[in-house]
Amino acid sequence: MAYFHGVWLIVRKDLVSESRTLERISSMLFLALTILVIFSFALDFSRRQVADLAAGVLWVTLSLSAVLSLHESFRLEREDKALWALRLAPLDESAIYIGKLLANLLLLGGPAVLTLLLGGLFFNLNLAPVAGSLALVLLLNTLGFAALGTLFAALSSRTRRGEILLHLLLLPLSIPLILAAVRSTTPLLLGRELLAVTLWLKLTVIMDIAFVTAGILLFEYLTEE
Amino acid sequence: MAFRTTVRSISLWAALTLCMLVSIHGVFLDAPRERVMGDVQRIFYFHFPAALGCFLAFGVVCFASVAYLWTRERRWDHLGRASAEVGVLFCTMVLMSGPLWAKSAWGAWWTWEARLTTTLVLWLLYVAYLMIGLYTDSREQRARAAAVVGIVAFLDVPVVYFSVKWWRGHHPIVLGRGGEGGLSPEMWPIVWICLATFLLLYGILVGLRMSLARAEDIVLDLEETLQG
Repeated sequence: MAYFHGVWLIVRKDLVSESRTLERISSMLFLALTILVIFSFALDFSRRQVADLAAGVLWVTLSLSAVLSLHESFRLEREDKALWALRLAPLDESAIYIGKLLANLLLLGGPAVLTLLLGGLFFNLNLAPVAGSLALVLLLNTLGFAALGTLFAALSSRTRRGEILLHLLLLPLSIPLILAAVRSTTPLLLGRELLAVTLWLKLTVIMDIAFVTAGILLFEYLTEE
Repeated sequence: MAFRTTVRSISLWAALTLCMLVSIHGVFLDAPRERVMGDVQRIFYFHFPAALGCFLAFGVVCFASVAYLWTRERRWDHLGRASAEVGVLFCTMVLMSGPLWAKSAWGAWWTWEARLTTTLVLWLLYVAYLMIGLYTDSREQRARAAAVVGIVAFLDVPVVYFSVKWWRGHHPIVLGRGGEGGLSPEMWPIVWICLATFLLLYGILVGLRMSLARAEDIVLDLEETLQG
């Protein structure tokens, strides 16, 4: 129980510190909006059937805007050696990882939902009938992305020009996640049932399990001084 | 000791040179001309061993990464880094020889097919692995970071492969059930010789790179001692 209490304390700490500034959420949202607008010029949404493009555009937008937010999650821990203090706490390293992961899941998921709604507006999509299925796809893929992102943000925050390194590591590693996300979102936007994408959902669940496990096992090696 | 090392390295290089000459002779003179694809098929004798060598190299990176985190011995870090460099080299050869063949066989330099795409993603992943060194300050920090990336990148390989495979299809199936890439019996010995050559080349390059990494470490140790 003490373990889960520790996890909860870390989640709460991250949410409270974010609520003071709303820095991560607002910058992720603003970046996502900008990328969506750039896409609208590049692909000219008004002229073509956009439902089959929308999923790709949305997931690329979400992945790119999430990287910055993930980098922030550990940059703050580096300032004034906050992570050092966190490691002194009587907590297992994996509890720190899981806490940071859950906080990141919430802090990425919130703006992601808003971006999805914004995308629905831009693309003139009716998201209401598929809202539940979309939420599931969003949750599973954000979990995998956050699992990798939390691990590598811990790595990149300790390096010089870490943001570049985080992009270089996280984007290629999350290619299968982005691919699965696009493949499972497209049929939903075209009005198909969730059953049509079970193969991709299974793959996503496998990736989630693999990446979360890797994160739990490897996190401690990245926080050592 | 020095004499034995010299003898060993000379004999390894001699063996490699011999293997390369035999391979080249085999590929261009002994191997039969492929019925459908013609001489372009000879690229396969370089393409396939380079691809297997690259997978082996990245497997070794993963193994060395686990071993480094486990034991914290620098030699595992040297092995991982050396193997990643040679793996990226082999991967580059695969990515260059593939399109040359594909242009003639499929009529396009590049298609977003499962193995091609996976190989390209692999290349990106391990170039990123090699770039960690540019961003880190201390050796231990770099070694730990590289080891973690080496493990996660290897975990990523099968999921990349299956996700792209479900997304797209069509690459000649060489192993297993015949398919369009099925080889005639007289082609196989040459494939084996080429494979042996590439494995030897891999071993020698990794050995060289590791001894260079050891030398670099000694220099850095000396610098640190001198600076106090």
